[in-house]
Amino acid sequence: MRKAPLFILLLPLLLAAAPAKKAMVVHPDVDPNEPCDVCHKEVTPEIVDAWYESKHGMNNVKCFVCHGPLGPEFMRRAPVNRCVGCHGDKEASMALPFFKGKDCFSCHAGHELNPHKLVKGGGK
Amino acid sequence: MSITRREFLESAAAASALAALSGVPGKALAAGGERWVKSVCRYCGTGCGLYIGVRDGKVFAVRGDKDNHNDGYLCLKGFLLPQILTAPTRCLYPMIRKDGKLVRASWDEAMSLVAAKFKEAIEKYGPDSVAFYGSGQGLTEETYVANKLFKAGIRTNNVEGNPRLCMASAVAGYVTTYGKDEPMGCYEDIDHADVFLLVGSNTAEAHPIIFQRIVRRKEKAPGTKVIVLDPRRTPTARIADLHISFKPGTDLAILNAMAYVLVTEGLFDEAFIKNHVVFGEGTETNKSFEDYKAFLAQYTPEKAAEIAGCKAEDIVTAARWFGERGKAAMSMWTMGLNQRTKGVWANNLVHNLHLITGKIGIPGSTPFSLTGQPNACGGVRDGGALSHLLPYGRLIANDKHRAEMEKLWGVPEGTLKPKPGPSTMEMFQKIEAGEIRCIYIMCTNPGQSLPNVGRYRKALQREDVFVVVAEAFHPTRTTELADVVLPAALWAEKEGVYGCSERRYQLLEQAIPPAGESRPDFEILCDLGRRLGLGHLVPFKTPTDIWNEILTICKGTVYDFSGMTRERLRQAHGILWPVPTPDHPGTKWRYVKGEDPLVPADWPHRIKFYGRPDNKAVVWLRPHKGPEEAPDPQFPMYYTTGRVIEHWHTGTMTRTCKELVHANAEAVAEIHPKDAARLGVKTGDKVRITSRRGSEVFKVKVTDTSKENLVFVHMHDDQHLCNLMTIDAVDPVSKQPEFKICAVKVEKV
Repeated sequence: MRKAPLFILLLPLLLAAAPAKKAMVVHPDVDPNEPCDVCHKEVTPEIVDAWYESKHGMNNVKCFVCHGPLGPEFMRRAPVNRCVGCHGDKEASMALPFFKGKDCFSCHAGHELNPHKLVKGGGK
Repeated sequence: MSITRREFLESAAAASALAALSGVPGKALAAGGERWVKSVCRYCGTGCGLYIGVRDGKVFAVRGDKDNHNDGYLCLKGFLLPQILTAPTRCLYPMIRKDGKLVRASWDEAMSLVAAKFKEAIEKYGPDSVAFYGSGQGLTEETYVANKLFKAGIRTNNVEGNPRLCMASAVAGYVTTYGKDEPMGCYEDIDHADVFLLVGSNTAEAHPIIFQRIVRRKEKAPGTKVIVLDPRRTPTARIADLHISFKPGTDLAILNAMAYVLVTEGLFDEAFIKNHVVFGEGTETNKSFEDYKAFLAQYTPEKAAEIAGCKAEDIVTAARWFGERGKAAMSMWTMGLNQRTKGVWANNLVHNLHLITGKIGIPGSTPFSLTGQPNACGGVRDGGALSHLLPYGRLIANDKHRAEMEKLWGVPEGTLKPKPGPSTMEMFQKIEAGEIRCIYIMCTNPGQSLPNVGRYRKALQREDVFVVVAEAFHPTRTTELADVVLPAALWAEKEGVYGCSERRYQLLEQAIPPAGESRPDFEILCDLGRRLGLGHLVPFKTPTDIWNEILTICKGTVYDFSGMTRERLRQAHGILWPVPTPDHPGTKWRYVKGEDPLVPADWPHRIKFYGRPDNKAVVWLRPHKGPEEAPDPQFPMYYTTGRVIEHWHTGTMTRTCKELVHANAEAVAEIHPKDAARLGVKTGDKVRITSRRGSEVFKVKVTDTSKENLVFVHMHDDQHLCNLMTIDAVDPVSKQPEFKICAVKVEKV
């Protein structure tokens, strides 16, 4: 099996150490021809698994939809304006007082996304 | 946390008020000059509604349309659409080939040359020396202008389009079974289905938003069953309760065996068969239910399993789930069935399952063909822009239909030629033979997408063939072969109608001006018409002018959408035809009494298959027949091609998105671990795939999602042409090529 470079192995720690507000995390320079999960199945398997089991994983909403491309435009934490591409009906509610200082991931945390309504026994 | 109803309502009211202020889609203009323009996705035949966000004259985002069938969701390709508009590969000005190179030219210079070459060919060799090759991605108005210009103006039936490569077998399946083309059901059937039969469709990747709707149905109704018939274990199989993998090309045996189980286990609807079904073989409806039972006797599950290399009990299970009384069953299919030399028969066999069980025309029960392109249905199929068709169900070979169209188009009697023109493969073979001297290719990329493409690339390179390509991108594998490249405006830069898989017509409004010197295709075609002295036939100034004429053409046909005025389309989030009057709401379930305006209220049954003279659909006795080219000792492996979710068709658009160009962009050879071991290759190694027609080198991906002795390559890579190997044999009825199956040898490089 191909060995992951050290900086990739350290990436989860680096990301975990980064405060949520500081979104400017530059993704390491990796082979752009390889899909994200080639490395991430090795270095962050729990994230890949969480995504795979989530609604996004079920419906093939892949990493770059939220995180953008590699390079300077990579986003560790997707901004609201990324989410509203599909969840536009939720945008207006973000202006309500309850959501002050929050973004989508304040509630829909991690790669599980914690949907409002979990239905057991179907689809997964 | 729980909230009271009052709190909820207050919260919803506040959100609604905020929405009104914040410039969300639906509001024309908000602070900062931001506009959201209603449109439809540019990619697949699902036809997802979206809004295009425009700021400072540029498209900066898209958002799904919550009020459309897609409920606000977009797949990853649709979400990244804005990037295609500013791609460095946009074709921004006309080009003419001089001294072997394409060089910049003025519109007048380019169009003068095109007109002169077409005139010269027509005068010297007759009108059948020129041809038009269009697309299921062109807007309805654009395709209409081309069809009229060539058939009624130039007077040639050399009018084809890439839907011949993707939907022709589905069309012929519907026409032979029900008398008329297009599905009778709609996407809403998904929300009512208890059983899904997905056959020859990787829905998860090719039609992601439809897949998502199936997933939602399964979540809401946990007993819902999904049956997937596909040699490969694709991402679609993830939601399968039963995945049947089989030897490529043997699904006709499986479908007949499912019918055998339905019949022998009494899971058929005798009353429905009596009232609505006739039986036929070949082209004659001269058989009985008893004949059908006798025919099916040769397709016991055991026999079919032996042919297909699957388990007999799985076929029985699939049939029992499909046929269970009281359960709604929906089938969906696409290229796995259509791109076959027996594609029409395969389509017929799916329809048979619905007809013998009566599972049709009831919400959740319908045979539903998924379309690959956003306007194959609306523009080419319905618009009649193929060589044997005239608009809205009319046929070239039908004297009455020609006379009707001549009257509607205001051309003298006898203008329309009575002999159908060549189908797509025949058309390119006529180019190869030097019989067609000029071809106008619009919004498609045959230099990459035709099967056995090496052969037809050579044909297009003939010195005496003049190739015009109207395209929004350059270079493509077709523009590189062109004598003239005309820059076409792209999605969001022009206005027109798309018609998706479910008979839903939708208006795409113009959001920004065309890039560079590009022009909408209808304008280019009208310009050509004027230069050929045929301007009186195509006098259109706007797409609305064309649409208003189209409304007169569809009126009185079974497609009748004359109630779909332009203004209504601007307001609506898609309307399903028939829509015969401006106040008609549209038709979700065709042929169904109380739903379809063409079924009389006093019709004694719930359904009327009015497409056929006897008002009955046909169960066809179609035997199993394998592919044109099966593996043999010289070419021992099956070869198949298809889509991945990140890319679309020949990649001219998706390969300009920075996220997508790094995601699954290179076509790799997906090989089963056992084959990889036999070949001595591992992931990342290179193999040469060779068929009787061509050869190409690919990187290897070893995966157990592939089937043993089958190699899969995706079709989106312009640098690794999967179609050098595919076969150009066609279905004898639909003339659709068998892209999906051929024989190859695979060697380590």
